[in-house]
Amino acid sequence: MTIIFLLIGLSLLVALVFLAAFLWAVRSGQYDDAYTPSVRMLFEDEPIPPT
Amino acid sequence: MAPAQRRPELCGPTPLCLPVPVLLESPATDLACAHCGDVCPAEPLRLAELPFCCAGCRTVYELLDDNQLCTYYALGERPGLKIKAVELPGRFDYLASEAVQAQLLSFRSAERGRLTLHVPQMHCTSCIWLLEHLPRLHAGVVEARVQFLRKEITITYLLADISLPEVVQLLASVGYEPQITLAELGAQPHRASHTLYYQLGLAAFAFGNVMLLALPKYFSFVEDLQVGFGRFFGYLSLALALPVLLYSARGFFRSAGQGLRQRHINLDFPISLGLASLFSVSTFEVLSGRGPGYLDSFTGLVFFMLIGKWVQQRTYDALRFDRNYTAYFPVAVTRLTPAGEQSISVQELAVGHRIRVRHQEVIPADAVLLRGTGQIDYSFVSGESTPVTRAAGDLVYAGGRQLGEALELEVVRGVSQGYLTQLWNNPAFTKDAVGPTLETYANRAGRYFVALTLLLAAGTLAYWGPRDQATMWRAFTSVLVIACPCALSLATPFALGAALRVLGRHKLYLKNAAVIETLGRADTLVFDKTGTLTDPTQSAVQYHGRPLLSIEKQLIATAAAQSTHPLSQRLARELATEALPLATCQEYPGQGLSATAAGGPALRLGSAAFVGASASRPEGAPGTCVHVALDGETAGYFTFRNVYRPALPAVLAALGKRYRLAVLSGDTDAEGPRLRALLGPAAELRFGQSPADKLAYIAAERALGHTVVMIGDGLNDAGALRAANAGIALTDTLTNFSPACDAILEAGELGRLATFLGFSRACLRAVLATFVLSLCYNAVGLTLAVQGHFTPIASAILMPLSSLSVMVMATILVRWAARRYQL
Amino acid sequence: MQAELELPATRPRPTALPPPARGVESFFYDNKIVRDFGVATVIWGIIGMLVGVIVAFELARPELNVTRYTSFGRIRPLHTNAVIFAFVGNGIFTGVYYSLQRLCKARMFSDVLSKIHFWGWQLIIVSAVISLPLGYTTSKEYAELEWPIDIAITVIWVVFGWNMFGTIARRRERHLYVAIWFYIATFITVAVLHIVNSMALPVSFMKSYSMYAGVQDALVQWWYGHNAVAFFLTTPYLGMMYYFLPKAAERPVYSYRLSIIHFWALIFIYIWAGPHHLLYTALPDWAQSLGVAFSIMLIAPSWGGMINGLLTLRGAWDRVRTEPVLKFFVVAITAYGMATFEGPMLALKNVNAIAHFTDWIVAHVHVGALGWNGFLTFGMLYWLWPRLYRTPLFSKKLANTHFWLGTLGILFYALPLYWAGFTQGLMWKQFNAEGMLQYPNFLETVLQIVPMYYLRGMGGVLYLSGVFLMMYNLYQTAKAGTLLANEPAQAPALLPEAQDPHAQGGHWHRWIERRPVQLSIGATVAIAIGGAVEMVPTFLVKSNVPTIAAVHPYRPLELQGRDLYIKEGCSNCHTQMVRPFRSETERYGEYSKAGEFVYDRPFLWGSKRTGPDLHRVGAKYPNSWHYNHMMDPTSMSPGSIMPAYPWLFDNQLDNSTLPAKIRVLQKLGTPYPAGFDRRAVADAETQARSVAAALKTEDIDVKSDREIVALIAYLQRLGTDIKVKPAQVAATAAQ
Repeated sequence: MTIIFLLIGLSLLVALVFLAAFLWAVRSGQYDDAYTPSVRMLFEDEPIPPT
Repeated sequence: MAPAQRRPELCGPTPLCLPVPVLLESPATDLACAHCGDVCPAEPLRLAELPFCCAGCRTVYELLDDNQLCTYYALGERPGLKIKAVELPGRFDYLASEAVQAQLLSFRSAERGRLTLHVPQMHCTSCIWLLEHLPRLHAGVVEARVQFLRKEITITYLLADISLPEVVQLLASVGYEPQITLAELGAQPHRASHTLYYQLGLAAFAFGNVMLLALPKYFSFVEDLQVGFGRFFGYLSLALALPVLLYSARGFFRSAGQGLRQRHINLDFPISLGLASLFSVSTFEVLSGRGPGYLDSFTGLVFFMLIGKWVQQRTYDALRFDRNYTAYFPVAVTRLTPAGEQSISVQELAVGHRIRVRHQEVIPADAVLLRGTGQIDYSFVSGESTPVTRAAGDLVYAGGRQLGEALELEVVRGVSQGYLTQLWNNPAFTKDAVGPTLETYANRAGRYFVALTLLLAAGTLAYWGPRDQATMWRAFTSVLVIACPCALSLATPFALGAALRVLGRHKLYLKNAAVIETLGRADTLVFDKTGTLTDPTQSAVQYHGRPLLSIEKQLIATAAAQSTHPLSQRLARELATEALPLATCQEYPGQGLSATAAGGPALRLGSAAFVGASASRPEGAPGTCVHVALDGETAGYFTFRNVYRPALPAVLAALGKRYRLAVLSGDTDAEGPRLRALLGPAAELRFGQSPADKLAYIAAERALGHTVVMIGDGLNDAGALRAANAGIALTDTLTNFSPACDAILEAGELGRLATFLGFSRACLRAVLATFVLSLCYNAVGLTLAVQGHFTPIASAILMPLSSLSVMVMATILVRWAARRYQL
Repeated sequence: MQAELELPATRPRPTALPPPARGVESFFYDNKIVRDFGVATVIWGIIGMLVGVIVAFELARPELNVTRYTSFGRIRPLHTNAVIFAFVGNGIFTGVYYSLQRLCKARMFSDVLSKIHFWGWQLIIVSAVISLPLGYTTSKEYAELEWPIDIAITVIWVVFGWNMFGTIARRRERHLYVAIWFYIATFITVAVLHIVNSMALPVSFMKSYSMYAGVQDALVQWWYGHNAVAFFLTTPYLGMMYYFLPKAAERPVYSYRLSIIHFWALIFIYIWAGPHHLLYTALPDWAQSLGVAFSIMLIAPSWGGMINGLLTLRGAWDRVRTEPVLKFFVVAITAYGMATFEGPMLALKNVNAIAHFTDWIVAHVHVGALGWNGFLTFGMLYWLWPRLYRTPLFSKKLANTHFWLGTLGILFYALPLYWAGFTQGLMWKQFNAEGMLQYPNFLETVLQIVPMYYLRGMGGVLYLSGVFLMMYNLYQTAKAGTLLANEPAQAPALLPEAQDPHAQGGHWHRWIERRPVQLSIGATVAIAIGGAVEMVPTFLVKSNVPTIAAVHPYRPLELQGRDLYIKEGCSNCHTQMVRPFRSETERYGEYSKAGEFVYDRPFLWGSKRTGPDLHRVGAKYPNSWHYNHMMDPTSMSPGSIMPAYPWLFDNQLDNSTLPAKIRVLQKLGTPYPAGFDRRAVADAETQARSVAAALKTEDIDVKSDREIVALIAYLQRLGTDIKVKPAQVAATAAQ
């Protein structure tokens, strides 16, 4: 069952990648505001033409 | 959040301004303003068939329409904010000052500036939309980002194209004037702490993976397979758990250490003890190859407890309580120098400076009035809405707001020595603030916990020592492991966190969860009168004197409408008749006004002295009087009496059954009988109380062993609010609440006070119930532990089970209590 | 990349206006690529579902298996591949390409990459459509495509990721909306899963052998198989739910915070749940239990997501009644909730003991596929088309009809199969008073459920007819409007990082933070290196699956027969895994041991028992029985629903690649003696002649070079290694 080492290793690595992503997200302030983005995504703007 | 309305049919060109005039139910002819939704006057202003209540609203609408920003009206229901008529041309000039900008801007380069402003008015989807589309309104604004929950907007602008005062003016012109106060000036840009999130993420990651590695041990039926992987899994788990110990669990150890240094055992001490022993036992077992250890429990516990912390932290996110009096001060003042006017920061203000205070501006420091008539509204200091008249030469105290003409003042005391500062810093007010902090149940229980655990651990050692060495160590360590009162530490944040959210929904905002405990234990309620029991925005107007002809009434109303004085405005609203063309009208600041109209009498309206009335306050007349003279003859007077909040009788009756009630009023005892009727015979009524008197009364009550809740408003209650076990500040606008209280209650919800207090008691019971539950778990665990039966699998089941069930039970009990109290 | 297009004329602007801010950039969203993927979704959806309907009826009426290219065993993988990778895959790309651009306020990174991605993906599907009916298959479920196509998938997937991360890097909105996180997770995880599971050594252009054998292969396959469900059918669709549902409902998601928690919780747990597909198999007990535990834990985040979705509609339920888009979404989310509740329940060992290998599982996956994936896709397309073509939907009424046809279709599909699953699962295990199997003849349990197969087929027809309505509706909508191929948009550029106060930290992550692209590449490299490092011992260290001395490698003819078994898709209906239940050992014989599969590349345990298990079929029947049975199954088993395989009797066995096969297997560790590849063909011919001779004794005249001979040789070998020497069984029972 050495395959377990492979699968666990891989899964751990993937999990580590996501952990790094999580830390990055928190660090860069992605989750400082956990409300406004959900409203912001509703806005779809018609651009105004340049004069 | 107002629910978003249906948006216009898709695919068309940019939706033009859509709102159609909406008929209000009553009166039938009245229209709702297309901008703010308020009732329009009989002859509304119109623009393209749409009605507007005032020119301000119409201007904003025009502006948005021109810029194709009318989606604003389609997103929310009547999102517009009523534009206040008060517009001072130079209101934002001070923002041009370098000193002010240096403090406000969070970032500045040669071309760009960025700052975050507090905009309390934002309230719905439309607000977010409009504010984030500021770049469309002005080319100089590059980016505008809203943080809705904090009601903040971060604006990046091009220094070459737009100045800071213009940015703020732009916001104000669409109805979102930011609140810039001295407190903000000193403050660092808002920067959330991310540590807890890092800790939580790391713990979650480690917990998930350690659990994965640990699970096979519990289910494995084939021992030989285990040998190959067991070791590997053990080391891997250890590697995963180590960062959790060093980083995620740091807060608990630190807090326990701080407690110890202050010779004080808090709940974090037994938690740290448990975690430390859990980790060391596991490390030993893994390294010595004896077994898998308890690392899954360890990481799990840290994870769950961090969730508790997170719940605790995020509950307070929305409100900032740490304001002091400076929050009410203007950030900049207009200084008069020989060279002309100069805008300086309040902090630079020094004794001897001459300053100018305009209509609606706050007096920043105690000063002598040099020129002009002061009509000073001290309502935020005293709660009394009637302005005080001051003449040249008088001393004016800081904190009042000038209404009327611009004043020239000379500063006599620096900001840091002003009346407000003294009031705020009065040792009498602050002496109790630090001492009796609310010691939570959990912390208290923690102490006994430690004692009991150490006792049991010692007992285990003594019992097993002579019998079985191996069991002795296992039992000893597992007693320490079980001692970790994690469930206990979770009960309070979850129960009280849920309670805080329930109360928050009903506009009672608490400074922290401990306030609920105090509210639940309270037995004495002390009320301030003015502005608390009475509604500062309302007063009952009554006329006493000879009957007035209708043309006389019209004249009075029309003349009163010309004045900015609050009493005049109130009077004009009260009489509300058709306007009469006035021939002359003159206002004598601080005294009254005179007016004539074609075919009508000559009117003088104002103080007794101004109209020539005999007595300033007719016998038996409560409150404030405005006298009327027609053609030089006194006709009568209007009285303005405070109106009690409508919910008051019911709530006081309910409270009287359970609590000792008291009213402390700074006013005379004119209202005594009415209050007595409202509060019942047992209540304590005291009048003519100075802030220090109020403080003394509360201190005395507390000395008698009562738990006192003070309900008041205004800065002059600040000392009493602080001195009480819990101080609730009542406020009519949430953006302008009183400092240093423990809770803020929106005035409209005063009627629910009895419910809130009852709910707090129920929450306390809920916390106690969860304590009992977690103690049961600990009892079970300890029973297993002292016998040496506390195996990894028992730990793996018991630990998360206790944490989770306590969280769930705490939340459910509180929800249930909320439902019972119909909150 | 931005096309310079004239902006559509809007109403004239008042003159007094200031021009837009200098920092605001104008750009165009690429709607054409969205439309293309959308069209592909519809077309492949119809093809995939049509094949589904055909295979459904082939099960009920075996005579519908008219040609070898359309026999059940070959086109059932076509159905799953077309639906998962063509229909859902294109659906994902439609949703991602539309929402990602808008959430990032940027056009897709590169139009060229978009085009390569689109056409590359369609080409892959076309190659699947061609290669699968031709019998080119690896037999690993949802990974049946052979190695050249696997490489193409990898390349195109990387193109997709490149395009996606490029767009993210060029975004004008700093916040990454939660949907984007779901897309990122999809990309990374699917890449890793696909590469690891597709590891194989090629024999020839369209034939390869798996790097892993037996139990290990099974574990890798279901680690992949489960996560393919998780990260291809679930996470991207959750991302789309979090985008299109609020958009269609015109209100923000119920709790954005919850959606963030939903994402991270799902990510940290989902990847572990794979082994629940192998309960009661030869997989070690603890690995099975692990799968169970994590599957149960999955309920929490899944339901968190479902509740978040449904509560988003609070206060908008009146609109659900009138708006078909929302109706589709509501049913989709409900189906997601049902499937994610049922999944963990099925992972419970006692439930699994009954449900596994039956039609219950088929019903379960179709609730997910038809309900969750299908309905979310339909809702999304109905919402998208009017926006892409700038005109209202052609007919709401037709969309409503589609909705009801689809819903009825799901019910007609799922309910009979649940019934069939229960019935068959219980019948297999039924013992009579004497302690004998109540239904010893497997066929009895099949005949019992054939009526359900008809009903299920009807369900499929209903569902498919709804899709035809949609195609018509969308076509008419497109005809009425004009495609806004490049949609103008404006957004302020993101400040350069150096000017952004948010980016000013003094930490090690600062570097990472500034380089999301580099981070992703670095992460992938790290995974690859880590994977390689982990893999080396796998191939160097001797497998610690207990080997059984009596188990020998397949003889060349048996190997050929096995490859025919794979080619004809026998494992779609026949398992080779006798589970350790009395009902199974009674019916089939000794239960399967891990050590018996060490030479199985790939493993052929199967996942569905439409026909009986074959692991112990060797030496059970005479050669003639197999011969006649393959010629006409009903001659041996009256009423059998197995199709006939007449072409096996005509086709000459192709031994040309046999030496190469032996060499590859040797390289992978099968202990054929050195130089055996040169003797392999001769050995195969020898064995073929002996099989033909044996048939001759039963009055059957067959040339020894026909394919049927090899297949019979393989079937007669199956499971005989340890039946021969029962003493070995006891010795290795502990495994």
